[in-house]
Amino acid sequence: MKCFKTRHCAYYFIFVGIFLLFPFSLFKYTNYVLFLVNMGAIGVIGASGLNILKGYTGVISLSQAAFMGVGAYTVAILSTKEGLPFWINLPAAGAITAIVGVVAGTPSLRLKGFYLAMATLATQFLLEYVFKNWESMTRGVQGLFITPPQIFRVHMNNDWVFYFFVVPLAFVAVLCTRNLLRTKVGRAFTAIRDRDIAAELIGINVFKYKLISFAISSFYAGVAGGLWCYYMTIINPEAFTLLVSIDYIAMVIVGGMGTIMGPVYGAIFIILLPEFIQRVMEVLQPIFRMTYTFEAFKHIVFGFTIVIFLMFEPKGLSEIFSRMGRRIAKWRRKEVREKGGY
Amino acid sequence: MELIVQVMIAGITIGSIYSLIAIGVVLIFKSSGVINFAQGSMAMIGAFIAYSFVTQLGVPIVFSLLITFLIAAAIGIVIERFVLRYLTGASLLSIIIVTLGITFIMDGGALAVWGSSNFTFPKLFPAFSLELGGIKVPSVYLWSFITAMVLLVIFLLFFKYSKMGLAMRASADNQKVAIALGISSRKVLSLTWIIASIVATGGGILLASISALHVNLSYIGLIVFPVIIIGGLDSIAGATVGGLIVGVLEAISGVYIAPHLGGAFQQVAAYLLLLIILMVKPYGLFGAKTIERL
Amino acid sequence: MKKLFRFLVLVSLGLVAISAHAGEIPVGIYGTLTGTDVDVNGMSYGPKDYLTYVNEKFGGVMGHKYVPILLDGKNSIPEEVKVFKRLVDVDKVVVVNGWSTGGTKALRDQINILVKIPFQAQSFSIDVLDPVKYPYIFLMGPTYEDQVLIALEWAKQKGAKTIAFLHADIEYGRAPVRNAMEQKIPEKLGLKVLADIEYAGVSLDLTPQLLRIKELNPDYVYIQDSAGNTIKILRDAAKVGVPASKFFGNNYNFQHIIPGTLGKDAEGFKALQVNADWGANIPMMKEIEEFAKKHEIAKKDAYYTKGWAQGKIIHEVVSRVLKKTGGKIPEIGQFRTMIRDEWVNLENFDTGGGTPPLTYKNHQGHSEARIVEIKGGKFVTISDWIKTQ
Repeated sequence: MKCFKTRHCAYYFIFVGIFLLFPFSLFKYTNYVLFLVNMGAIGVIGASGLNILKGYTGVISLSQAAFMGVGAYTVAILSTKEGLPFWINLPAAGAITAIVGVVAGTPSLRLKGFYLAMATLATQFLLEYVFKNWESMTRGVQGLFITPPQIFRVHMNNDWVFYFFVVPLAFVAVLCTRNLLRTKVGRAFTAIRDRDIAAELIGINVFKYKLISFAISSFYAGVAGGLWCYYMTIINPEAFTLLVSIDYIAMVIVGGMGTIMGPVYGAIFIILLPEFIQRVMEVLQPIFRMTYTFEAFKHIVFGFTIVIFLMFEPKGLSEIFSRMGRRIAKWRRKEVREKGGY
Repeated sequence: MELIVQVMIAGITIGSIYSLIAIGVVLIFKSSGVINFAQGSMAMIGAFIAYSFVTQLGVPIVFSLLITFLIAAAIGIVIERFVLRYLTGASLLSIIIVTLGITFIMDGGALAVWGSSNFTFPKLFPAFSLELGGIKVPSVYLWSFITAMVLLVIFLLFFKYSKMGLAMRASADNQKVAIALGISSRKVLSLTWIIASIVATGGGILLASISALHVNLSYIGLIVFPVIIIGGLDSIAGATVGGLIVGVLEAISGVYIAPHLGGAFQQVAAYLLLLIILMVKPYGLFGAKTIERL
Repeated sequence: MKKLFRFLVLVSLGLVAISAHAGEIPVGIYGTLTGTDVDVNGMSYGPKDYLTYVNEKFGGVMGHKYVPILLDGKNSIPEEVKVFKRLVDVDKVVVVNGWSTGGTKALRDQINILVKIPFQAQSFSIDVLDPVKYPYIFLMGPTYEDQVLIALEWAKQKGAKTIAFLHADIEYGRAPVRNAMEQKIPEKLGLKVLADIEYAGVSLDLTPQLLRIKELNPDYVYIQDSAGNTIKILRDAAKVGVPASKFFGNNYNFQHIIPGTLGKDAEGFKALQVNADWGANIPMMKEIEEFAKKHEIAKKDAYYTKGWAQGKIIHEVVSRVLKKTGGKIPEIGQFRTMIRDEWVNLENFDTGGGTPPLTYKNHQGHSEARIVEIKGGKFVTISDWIKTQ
């Protein structure tokens, strides 16, 4: 990273400082909050991958959870059966998931739009079936226990240790996405998303780039899955169902498709929204005296929030924030001009 | 050979229910390009409303059904007018997520109002069953099969020959031009959703008559997607045939293939078929190939 | 932007926090309040209601009131892990009443090593029952494998020679059947297993599976699933002409909805009862009725009564600890460990008829079950309490 201006450098330092000090600032609820942040970071990685596929290449994928499952199982199998360390397992999880992703992407040769999405839905269910029934590898529905690896003799699934490991990884993931989109590959993706027939005409091999997109996005999903596995220490097929895939799609959409920060905002939003609703309803509960319908109302509120959000801002959170940013910039420029600057 | 006949009959009976729900989804797609993931929830809510009127309020069955259909129509209009209208022109994925959000709202609502137990659905159908090839097929399955077939014929004729049907197809094809030609897209969309809701409710009532009534009935919304894809998104005939195919496939693979492959293979069999068919016919068995222009 | 976010995160989480004040005993409970097995979530409402009842009737325990906190685990492992961490970290509970097998397994390190908090799971799985490896985990009732043994022994007595298993393709369905096969339970009884049939948990129609059963014609079929799917099984069995009396279900099939929905198609169906039913003529039921006068009860079934009994155990154990400390609430880590120690020492504890007398030396409470059968549209008892040990 080059610091172009001193102001940017200062931001980076402050940012790193906050990152390092954050866990120490939570006096009472450390483990719980760190848990949420860690799950959010895993979500960021997975959602960034899905964003590459959907936001930048225009492919709707309903199988992100299954790909995460492939990564999780790879890590689990490699660490329990082969005893390999995590710095081999995680990249291996990514690589193997990428291969699976390419295979799953072959229908994209002939399919588009919703039909392609349904093909990914089929992939999701087929992979679930494999997880449940390839018992020699996955131990079926009983799942696999993992002993998480130790970093400096502390287990990785300790919330603190995991935080210092996964949040930088999430940051790296977002950074890689940004850089990817500046390359030829990234530009090919956007061309395919916008007008794939035209892209083909100007010489972009659409099928090849779609496969690359599947590969990269699955790599992200695989790594996210591997991290999830180390954190939960137990995986079974029920953790990678269609509902989880839908969560990821919600993250990408609510955050803002086709933007770099979109997955970050989306992941944070989807992880935190239930917490927020829970807190608010706990405050309201004595007032409205609803006990047994409490949980159902949270469901309703969640659905409502998603619907209202998309109705009024279909471009997602990143659009809201850039608008805010633009307004602030305009206001500041106006201020400077009024004071006689520039 | 008797077993295989029984298996096929079993498949056709459940398949006709799949067809019913699928018809609703296809209908909405055909006239508005929206893929309604909330169809299953609508079916479930419809069944619960019927249950409330018949069992909890003691209203006679015929009136209950009428009121239920009216309420279902109202729900359809509400969804169309207050939600989807804002989303005209939004991306497909956004619309899908919105319908998923509606699913959450409906499921949560049902949970809040009726709770999470299994309920006994009132017996709306005479308790006779027809013996076909050794299986006692309860009358409710016959009803659903007949209903699916009748609806198929009605909709085929409707879309091909009636003015409203043509208007719907035009609207789905190119909304701006349709408006320019004087077709009120508002009326078209509202009507579509009304019909789809009623069909969904009918499917839900039949479904609840077959199983117990429970909020998890909304999962059927998921099972119909292979049906729709196999049949082609914009083909009602496809939805009907697709439903029967998927039903029979599940039955056959459950009895003959699953013991060898292990697990609940019958569940993924439909998806495998989906993949195979899509590779050969990318728009489903009966779907129309969309021509894309630059 | 990211800074703003971190700030918002902290603010939104700090909004309301339930923290226990001095003189209060927070107890954590989670279950499936929304999700796939909601129909048995009476087991989570039960303990909450019992502790509320104790607060109202006796003013808590030695003047300290319980604060039961009920959260939704959604029957999903990450969700259960999350609510567990919240209960332990934020609410600082002294006991947790958990739910699923999978969630309990994921939390095994947290419960037994990192946090050390007594944990009563709703699971009946042998995978989490290990007094040595998991000293803080307690179950109540016979394991699924015990239940299979009881059912098959009974079948053997009735002269059965062949059986089949029927279950869903999830852990709850497959693992106990697998374990039972590995322990050779059918073989040791001289029973031949004709088939192990699986179906997808969300299936709507099971006619093909029942057709297979009709072809194979076992003497008995053991259903390792709950009432929701059992209803579908029996309904489709009636369609193809397999009588309900061939079917035997586990303890989650003791629900009145089965005869209620199926009527005469359910006659002869058998299930296992592991604790008292709602409305039984026992002292515990009188307590529940007293509570019901002023409160609305979520689920009036045998799972609620199980939960109520579990609440009783928690109250008993906490009372014993507080008697030893002279009414003073100890520091939380010590409190949790003392509760666990008292729990293990519980012997022949009477829950007012809700369950057979409970002994927790092997962390199981009891391993007895009674066989019930549907006759004339209702469940009637057809055996005594059968022990497995």
